[in-house]
Amino acid sequence: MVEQSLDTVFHALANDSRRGMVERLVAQELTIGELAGPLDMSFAGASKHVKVLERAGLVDRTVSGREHRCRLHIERLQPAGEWLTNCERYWTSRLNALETMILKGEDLK
Amino acid sequence: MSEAIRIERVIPAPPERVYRAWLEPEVLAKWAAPVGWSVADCEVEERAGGRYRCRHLDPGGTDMGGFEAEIAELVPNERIVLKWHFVGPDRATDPATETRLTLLFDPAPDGATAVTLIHDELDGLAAAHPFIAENIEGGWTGTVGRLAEVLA
Repeated sequence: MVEQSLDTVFHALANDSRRGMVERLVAQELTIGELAGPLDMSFAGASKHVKVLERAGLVDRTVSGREHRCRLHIERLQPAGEWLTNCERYWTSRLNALETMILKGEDLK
Repeated sequence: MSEAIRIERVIPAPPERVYRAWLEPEVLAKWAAPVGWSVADCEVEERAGGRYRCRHLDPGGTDMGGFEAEIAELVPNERIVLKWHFVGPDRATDPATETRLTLLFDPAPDGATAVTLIHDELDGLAAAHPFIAENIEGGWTGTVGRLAEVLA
């Protein structure tokens, strides 16, 4: 089941192995075995991580015979990216204001 | 998500001065509001467990809430850790949307300070409130590389 929300997307990305998978899937579709390889992980372990990515709507899996091919829906990262970008922008702009205030010496009485 | 937002900035003033800019209510009031908004009042109880809050007004003088935080850790001139909530005008905080803001102050060449700001434990806030996305100018960079970088 796909529950697309910031919550499930952030949860899906809150893990090194899954972020690694997402980064590799940007370039191409990969099978579970190919995803498991560099992570030194069992098929079952990799499959579990893929399930979390599937639930968040980030990945879908096509099964043909024994091969499970995974494809990334990169556009579904957009809301999470937007949210982080805005949050980051908030702090960048606060630090700009802090710097301006210090340059003007407004903090010194 | 262990480290969601990390910003590093060199500010041309010594660590003591940059550290104080985060803790003196009158100084905080000069820069801690979003662009176009002003600070109505700030309160800082400078001790672990102390209250750290600011109230923001929009250009028309409407109370926009602001932030409510609790000081989790204070290391003079080196480090401030806050349990951070963005709040609306009712100033209600919800433990489910608590985040963590860490500020590190390191001496940099020429008497400057390297400030590192880390805002993490954002999952709960992201889930409950697209607040920031609604209130601050938007924009998606279009690359997952950047997202990966932010999340790394």
